[in-house]
Amino acid sequence: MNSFSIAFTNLKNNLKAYGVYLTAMILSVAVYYNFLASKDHPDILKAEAAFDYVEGTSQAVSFLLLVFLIFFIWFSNSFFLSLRKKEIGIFAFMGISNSQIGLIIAIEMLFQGIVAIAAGLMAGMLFGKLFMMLLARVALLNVKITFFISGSAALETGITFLVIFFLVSVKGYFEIAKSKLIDLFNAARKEELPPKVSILKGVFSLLFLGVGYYAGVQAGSANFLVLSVTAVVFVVWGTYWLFGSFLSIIIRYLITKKQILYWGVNIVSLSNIAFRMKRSYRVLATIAVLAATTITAFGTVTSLYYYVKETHGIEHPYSFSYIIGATGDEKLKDQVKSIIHDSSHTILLEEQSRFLLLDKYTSNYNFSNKMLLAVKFSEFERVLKDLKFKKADQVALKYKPSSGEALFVEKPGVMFSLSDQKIEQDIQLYGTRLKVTTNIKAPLFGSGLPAACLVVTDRDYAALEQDYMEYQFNGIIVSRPEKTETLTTKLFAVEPLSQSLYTYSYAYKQKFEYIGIVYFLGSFMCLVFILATASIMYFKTLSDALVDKGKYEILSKIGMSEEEIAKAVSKQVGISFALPLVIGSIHSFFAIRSLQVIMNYNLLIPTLISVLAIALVYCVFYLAVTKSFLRIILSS
Amino acid sequence: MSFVIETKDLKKEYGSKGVSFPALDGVDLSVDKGEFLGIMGPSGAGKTTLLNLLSTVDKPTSGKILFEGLDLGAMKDKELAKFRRNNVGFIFQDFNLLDNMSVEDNIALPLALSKVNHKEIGQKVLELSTFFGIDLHLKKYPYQLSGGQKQRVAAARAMITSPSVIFADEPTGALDSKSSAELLQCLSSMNERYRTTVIMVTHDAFAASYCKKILFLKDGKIHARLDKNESRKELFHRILDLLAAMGGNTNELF
Ligand SMILES: Nc1ncnc2c1ncn2[C@@H]1O[C@H](COP(=O)(O)OP(=O)(O)OP(=O)(O)O)[C@@H](O)[C@H]1O
Ligand SMILES: [Mg+2]
Repeated sequence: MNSFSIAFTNLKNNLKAYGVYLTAMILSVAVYYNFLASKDHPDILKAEAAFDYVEGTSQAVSFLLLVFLIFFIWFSNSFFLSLRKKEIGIFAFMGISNSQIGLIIAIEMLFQGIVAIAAGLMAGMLFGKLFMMLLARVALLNVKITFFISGSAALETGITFLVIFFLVSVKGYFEIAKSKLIDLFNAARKEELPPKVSILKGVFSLLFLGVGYYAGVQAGSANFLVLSVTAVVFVVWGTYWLFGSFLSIIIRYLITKKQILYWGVNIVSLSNIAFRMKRSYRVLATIAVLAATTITAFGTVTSLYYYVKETHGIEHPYSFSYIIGATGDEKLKDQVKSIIHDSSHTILLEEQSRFLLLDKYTSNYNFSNKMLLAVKFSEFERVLKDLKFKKADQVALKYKPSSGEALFVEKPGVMFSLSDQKIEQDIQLYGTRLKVTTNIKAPLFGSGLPAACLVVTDRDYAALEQDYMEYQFNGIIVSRPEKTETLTTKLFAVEPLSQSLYTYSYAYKQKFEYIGIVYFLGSFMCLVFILATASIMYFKTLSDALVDKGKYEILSKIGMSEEEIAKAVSKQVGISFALPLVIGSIHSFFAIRSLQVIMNYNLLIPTLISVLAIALVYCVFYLAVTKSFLRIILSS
Repeated sequence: MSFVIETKDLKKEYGSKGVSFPALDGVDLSVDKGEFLGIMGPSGAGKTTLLNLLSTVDKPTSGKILFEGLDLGAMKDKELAKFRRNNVGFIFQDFNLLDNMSVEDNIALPLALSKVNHKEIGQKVLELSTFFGIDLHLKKYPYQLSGGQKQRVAAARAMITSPSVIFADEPTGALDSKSSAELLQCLSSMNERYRTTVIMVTHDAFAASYCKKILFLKDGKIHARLDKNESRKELFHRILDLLAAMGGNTNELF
């Protein structure tokens, strides 16, 4: 038998055992293909406005994804190789030379890679439609998705992964060709010594994390770039030392505390973890950092999505809006109404409000935009009620301005601002001096009239009316506002209207789609990250199981029941799954806090959702891996 | 006087579907409390099999085992694991200590699993480690100990639950003669002092000479039995004589 056929039979015999590894590789290929293919999809190309965003985002995301996948493949391959060292050792015992074994394994890996590429492309194409449908749905694109195969994406994916798998095989070859027979044979039961711990590193790990967290939180309000890079460097460094030293110190301490150690299966779980720390802290720290990254990334895209959804009503309260002179133009209004009546849409709300354009004022406060409007409080109150603003009653009650005071309504579209805050600023107008009391975000004119607005008492308004021009704002809400493209074209044909006409379908195409796509691709990438990190944990735990098999055999001989063994294993595996997750969550909590400062928006819910999502996937993997662990150690 | 262990027509067959053969073929024995029983016999005679049955690690094909009057055949697997932990102790040829626990924790293990109070465990560990002469090594790890020391740690672990019987399968198999003698001396005085019943399988006539009574197995049956009545030296010679008389090549037995 030559190396080639040995490798092939080997692969065939082990297909089942390689299940998890192969599945992970297949998924990687399938996902990467879909990311590449999404920008070639004809139905998405049709939705022109979205196209640029899809292309830009999918390029950025697929690059990130590729970097991550290379890391993942490299990592799981090393683990997989170490799982098989014993089998390799047996070859060596049969008198096959190291370089020959290396060649067998390398060819086998390449085979595996080719199988993964073929299966992954097939799966990717099959699920491609589903992927695009989800993308279209989340991005709220109005397109029908057909089945589509992108040849160029398939080719690019195939070549990319072929190169990766080739490099991984070459690495595998050298790893085995260089190793000593005895190491191979004893790989699974290498003598373990109690790890040395450095108290200094343990203390510094906490210090570094503290500095990192502090820099991260400050980054929201000061020099963002420098501080956030500082935060990342310190947190990553701190995490490695935390797992390398601090947690070892804790576990060593627990082992000296006999009232904890001598309590049921603790003695077994804690001893196993303590000895394992030296070998596995890098993996655990990496997982913690990746988990933090994933939670933060997912939290960020989710927050953006929520934020845009939430502010959507403020920015686009009306399906159509236009501005006319204060006296009104009944003919024009009737014309608009009749055009809408002739369409398939019905009018749900017609809103009219008058406002003043404050083109000259002075204030030592920067009101973020020069254009300032004024509106009567009574009208403001009515608009809020008509638009069914959640906090309408509260705003009317709490912030009602008294004479000489004004309420500052933020310009729609301002994302990052301080809202619902007292600002107490004076503003000098022609004849009146007003004191701005509070800054709020509420729907008023929407992006059809993108300017900040002062809400004043009706009497102050009358005074201002003497000095400034008054206009009339008309807003209309119709049914199914997202499907008003044809209606929009018709309305734009009405001459005086086109200058100030603002339509939802136009706005909607721009922003909401973009955010939707970022959200979808971003969260999909996060899902891949979660699955991949969980699989890394899976491989790691299984290689632990091989080392622990002997120990559990001894334990069962001295009278540990299967039930107790299961308990000890659950505890041991549970701790190593929980540690990176908890530490990663704490990291991301601080990262998202700085984001929260920037966005001035409470990100607790999206963060919790992403933590829960990742915890859920980990739980599923935890249960599966505990089961496999038990199967490995209980099999004779 | 009551027996600690009694067996009736004990049989164990290995193999399946027709091609089975008896590893134990009708063993009747009774072990007194405080006995130091040796089991000898040629390789393949069924010594390990017998020990496994008596210590509940394995189940007989037929026959009965009474442990302090209790019928082991009537117990479920889950009960057996607990029973084993609380009533019997094991010493193995290859020590079977856990590399990742200190000597102290290795000894404490069976009681810790049973959630005995940690202070009580500490006292017992101290007492037994002093008895076995390993009290200076409590904080060390197994890889830092010699073979003889490791086996005495294993003996202390076997004793910590105050079992009624300790089973030892070739406990001196991996030890040099000096360490063997030390260990056997320990087992012997333990048997005296704590009145613990010891059942030891061995190939070695010298090791067997520490026993009070020796059973010889051959082809799954009890072939002969020796009782100690005078000195150890005298017993040692009688063992050698018997082994020679049993026919087999005596060299093979060492
Ligand atoms: N699990 C098993 N399956 C099948 N046959 C077995 C099994 N265990 C033992 N045997 C057979 O039963 C017989 C008795 O084995 P046992 O291990 O009890 O011998 P022993 O007296 O301990 O031998 P040694 O002195 O070599 O340890 C042998 O022929 C052995 O091959
Ligand atoms: Mg044997």
